[in-house]
Amino acid sequence: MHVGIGLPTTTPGTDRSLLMEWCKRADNGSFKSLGVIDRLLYNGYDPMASLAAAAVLTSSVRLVTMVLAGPLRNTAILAKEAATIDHLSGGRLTLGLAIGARADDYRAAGVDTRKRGEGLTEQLSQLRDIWDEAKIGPDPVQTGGPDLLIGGSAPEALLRMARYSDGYVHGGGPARSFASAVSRVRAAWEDLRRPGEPQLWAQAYFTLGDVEKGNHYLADYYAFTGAFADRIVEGNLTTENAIADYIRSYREAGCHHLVLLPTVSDINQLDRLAEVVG
Amino acid sequence: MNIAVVGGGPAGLYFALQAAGTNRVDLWERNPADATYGWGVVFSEETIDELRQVDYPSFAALSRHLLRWSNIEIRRGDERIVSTGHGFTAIARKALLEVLQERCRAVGVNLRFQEQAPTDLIDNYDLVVAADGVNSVWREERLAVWRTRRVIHPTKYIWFGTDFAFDGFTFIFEDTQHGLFQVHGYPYQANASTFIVECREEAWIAAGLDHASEDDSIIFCEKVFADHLGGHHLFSNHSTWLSFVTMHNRIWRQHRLVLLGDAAHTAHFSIGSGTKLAMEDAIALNQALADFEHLDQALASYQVTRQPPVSRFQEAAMDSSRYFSSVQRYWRFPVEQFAFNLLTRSGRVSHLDMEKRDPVLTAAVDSRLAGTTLLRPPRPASTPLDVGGLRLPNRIAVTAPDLNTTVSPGAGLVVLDELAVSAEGRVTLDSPEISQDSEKIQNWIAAVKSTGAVAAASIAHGGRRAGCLPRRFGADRPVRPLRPLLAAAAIPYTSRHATPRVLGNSDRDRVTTDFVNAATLAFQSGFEILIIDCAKGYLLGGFLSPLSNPDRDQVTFPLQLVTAVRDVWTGPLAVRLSMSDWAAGGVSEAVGLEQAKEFASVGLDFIWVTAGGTVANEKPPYRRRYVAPLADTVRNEIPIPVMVGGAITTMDEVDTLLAAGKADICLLDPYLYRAI
Repeated sequence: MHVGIGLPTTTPGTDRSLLMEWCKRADNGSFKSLGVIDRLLYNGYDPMASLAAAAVLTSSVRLVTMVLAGPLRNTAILAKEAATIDHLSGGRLTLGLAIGARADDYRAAGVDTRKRGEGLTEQLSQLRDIWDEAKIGPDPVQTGGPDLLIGGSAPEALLRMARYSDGYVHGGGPARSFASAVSRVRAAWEDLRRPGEPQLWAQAYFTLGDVEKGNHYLADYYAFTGAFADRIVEGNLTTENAIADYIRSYREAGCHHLVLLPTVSDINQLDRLAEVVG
Repeated sequence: MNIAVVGGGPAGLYFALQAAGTNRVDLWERNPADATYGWGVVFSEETIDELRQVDYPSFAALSRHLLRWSNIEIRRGDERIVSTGHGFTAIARKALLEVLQERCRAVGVNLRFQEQAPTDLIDNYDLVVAADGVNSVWREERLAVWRTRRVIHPTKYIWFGTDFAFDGFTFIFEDTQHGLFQVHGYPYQANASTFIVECREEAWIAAGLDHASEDDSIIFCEKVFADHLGGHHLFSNHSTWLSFVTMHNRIWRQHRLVLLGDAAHTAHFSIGSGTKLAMEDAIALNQALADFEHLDQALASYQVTRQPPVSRFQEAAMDSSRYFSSVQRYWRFPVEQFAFNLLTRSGRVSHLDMEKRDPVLTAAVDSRLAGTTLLRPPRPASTPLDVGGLRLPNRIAVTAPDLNTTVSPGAGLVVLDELAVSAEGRVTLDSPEISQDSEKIQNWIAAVKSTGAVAAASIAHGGRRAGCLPRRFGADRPVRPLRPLLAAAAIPYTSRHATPRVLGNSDRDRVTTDFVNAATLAFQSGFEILIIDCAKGYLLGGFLSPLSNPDRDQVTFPLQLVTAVRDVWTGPLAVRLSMSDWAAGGVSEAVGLEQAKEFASVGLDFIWVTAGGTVANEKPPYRRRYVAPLADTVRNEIPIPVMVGGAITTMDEVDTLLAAGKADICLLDPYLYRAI
């Protein structure tokens, strides 16, 4: 199993110099990927713009969105942005998509929330065709276009994942719930007769040191979920042991790639996590 | 906090006695303290352990009343089988309630029996716990909130008690002139047992029980089960015939009101988990209140903690109920297999578990399957199977995606899937075509046979799903520019697919000829089994569903075609059928079964049972072995041998399905097959 780290694009205090330093250090071998999360109505950087910057500042890590609320975006423009990042990074983009949980983001983008499931299905059916046709350009470096991941474990989401993507991205929580989702993911993959096996990605939040600050950010970022924000804070990995345990449990559950997302805009977070990951 | 609990059953009392330490708790129960409904309840050892840890004094008091046993006896007519090694614990419901009431009083819960809870509780308490049972008044008054879903089960049941103790869990099946009647019996104290009688609605009506009085029902049941009662009587407690209702609630809490136990969820009685789940709810709610400062957070935590295990039990209970509503179809099983199937019905006990619990019974089942009298028979998966005069070396099958993939040895049957009968019928650009790839096909067959396996061809025409790109970067991606497609109706598969041309009379003749020629070529190439793909929304499968063929008769053309192939193919023949479209307005299990019967009557050696694929916006209930229940229906209702796949990922699952008589050949996930 590979371990990656998130870019601190939504935590307060991130600026040009931190992002540059973060990318540079994340690329030195400890981590296999740099992940970004997506929220429109929040004071943070745009995930695709941030990954474009990361693409030119790094040379080996995979660049992954976990996940982008696909239907918020025009499909042709999203295809072009993704192809651009894939091109700039030399074929390192993994594009994770889902419908997202935030109705207010949809209102802010002027997109109808009621049809977002169908919208994502439609978008997915078009993305690879756009990349194949190469009319919009640039030509993605990866054969078939950037790797696609889909989040969500409802039957419709699993079908979408198996029909149009390269794998599944899990939303967080204990490894047991990941394993249970994976058995359904594999069922869908087999049902659609996809060759090989789906890529299996997962994520979790961590704070090493300034726990209060990290928890405060999570409570604020997930305030829209009401009482559930507390459970997300509860799940925050705040000690080296908790992180090591979590990594081990996900490895045992068959995860291929786990991305640990920062909660504090401080380069020490990256350094301390690199020590745990080894 | 000031807490109001409505309902003095196990859930309400057990919550109240835990919460009373740090809160003021008032509990209302509309019935008297000593009113008893129901007889005994069952717990697992794990639940008992939990009760020990949560509240030792009540556990200690309960221990004096617990009855433990490890046998399950199955009686089918005159045949009897005792299976050993199953641990259960039961207690009289009356004793359980008395202990919990006493403990509640000791810790200062204000118990108010024979009182209706005031309707303004919400205004006067910090938390109101609705533990008032499946017909919860508090839930019903706020129907819009919970997003309740109910599933009514197809059998009738009645809850009796009797004054002798069974030796253990006892299932009795009596085939009467009116139909099958069955008993779920278990002892709960030295001289008393619960005695639940269950039957299908048809039998219930045929026996006149739909207008029988309470006494008439007792007389009827005592007569049917006289041999098992040994002169003892059945006792009623306002017992009436009911249809069980499984209830799910998406939401369990609203502001200060929370649902607990049966008020929140029910699970079919045949896995005996209602009281267990209710008391676990009580433990979890109390824990959440201790863990979280804000009530809203505590209730949210309670709900997310409890919903996953509860829905797992509800799922297992549905599988168990499904078994009990269709026992008749297993009547022809040898009694050991009949018992094994019963014991593994809920999906929570596997062949491996059975080997540990009851090695003697398991060996008897496996020996019978293998047709040997060996003391150590081969495992079911490794048992040979005769299909239409051909012997498969074992009962594991795997599909080959194309001619280029090397097939690992191990499977008894290797299926070359989606072998196109014509160029236009190729599902993807990678699909082999029988008239074009003959040399590669012959090499492939030779390679398969060299592993000891039998080679099968599954011949197909992709219909409106044809003409797609290979599946490396996704499935159902039409090749561009779009290729012309042929189907039962002019409805495209997705918005990206071409609108198919409707199959005319001459097309029917041509397609039939293509399939017949393919059968001849398959024989010449050396295939030993032929499967005709009438599933997954491909050309023939597309005919079978009103969603892809709304305007005309659905079965005739595929049936004629299969008959035409039957006339030229002399070896073992099968069809592949989607038994459900997993979509509203599509083929349901009942319709699928009727179609399967028509195909079986043509003369087939087995049916490959699958599901879905008919429409792109289906909702498949993906989980482990999710297609197996449909295969069980086909195999045992028609009956005919079946092959089934669908998230079968371990050899233990294969052994369980085979030993239980739910399938004859199991298709493993090709990826996992390579890993095994």
